[in-house]
Amino acid sequence: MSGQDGNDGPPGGIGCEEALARVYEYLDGELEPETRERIHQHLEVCRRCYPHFNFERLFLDRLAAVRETPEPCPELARRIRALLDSEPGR
Amino acid sequence: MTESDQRRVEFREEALPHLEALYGLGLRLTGGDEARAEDLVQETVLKAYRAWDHFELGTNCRAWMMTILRNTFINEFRRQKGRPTRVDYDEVEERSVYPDLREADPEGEFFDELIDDEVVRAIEDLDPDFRLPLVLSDLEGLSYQEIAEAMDVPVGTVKSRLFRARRRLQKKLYAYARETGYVS
Repeated sequence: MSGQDGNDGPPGGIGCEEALARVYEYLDGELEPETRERIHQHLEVCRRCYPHFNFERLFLDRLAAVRETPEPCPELARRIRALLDSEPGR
Repeated sequence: MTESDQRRVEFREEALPHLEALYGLGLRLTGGDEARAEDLVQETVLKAYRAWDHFELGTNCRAWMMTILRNTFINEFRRQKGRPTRVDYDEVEERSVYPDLREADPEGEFFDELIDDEVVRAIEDLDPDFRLPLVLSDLEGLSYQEIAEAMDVPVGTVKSRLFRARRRLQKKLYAYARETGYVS
């Protein structure tokens, strides 16, 4: 398959520097399908880029995991309950 | 019980369990400002209560209220957009920490060692112009276009700030992990 043995240019037709420059757009799903596919092909075989992309993916996953981290707010809860009590009935 | 009493009870049961999650989002958006976050939550709950008739029971109440809170914050942010920003663009080298870690922790395991509290505080410490795109993208899941519309800036600006924010955050978390010994 073209690209895998290096004889037909870089994998996916895209170089490492170019691929890495778009790592976040790739992981965010914001690339046009053609570019996304080229980077995908590059990552399938590039032992330099794949771990780097994977690292960034783990980072973003870690951020997403704090999405709904609750914070205690007993005073606020009390105030809000009191506020609701004084709202006109719906 | 009257119908309106019933709706009130319904609201309390459905909506009030989400207060802590809402407050959490408020703190992330305001950078840890407790007073502002509390105001946001209060305003959100009142808006939700007044719109309760339009809410379809059985759909995701938390997501609905988180969206109200987020939009309330964004509207306020846009109104204040005229203020000068404190953003320092030269201060920090904006690169991934991966090259530093490639030998010691290539799998990024230190990310899992970090507790939520540490990650959350690091996010809250970011400058507002960097924090907002990051929270909207990485916590709230908005697209670049949606963030651009929310912040009333071009998509290019969103990308630039978002990527810088992520690099800064990464650097912070890595420094913290080294201090704490998660990484040597």
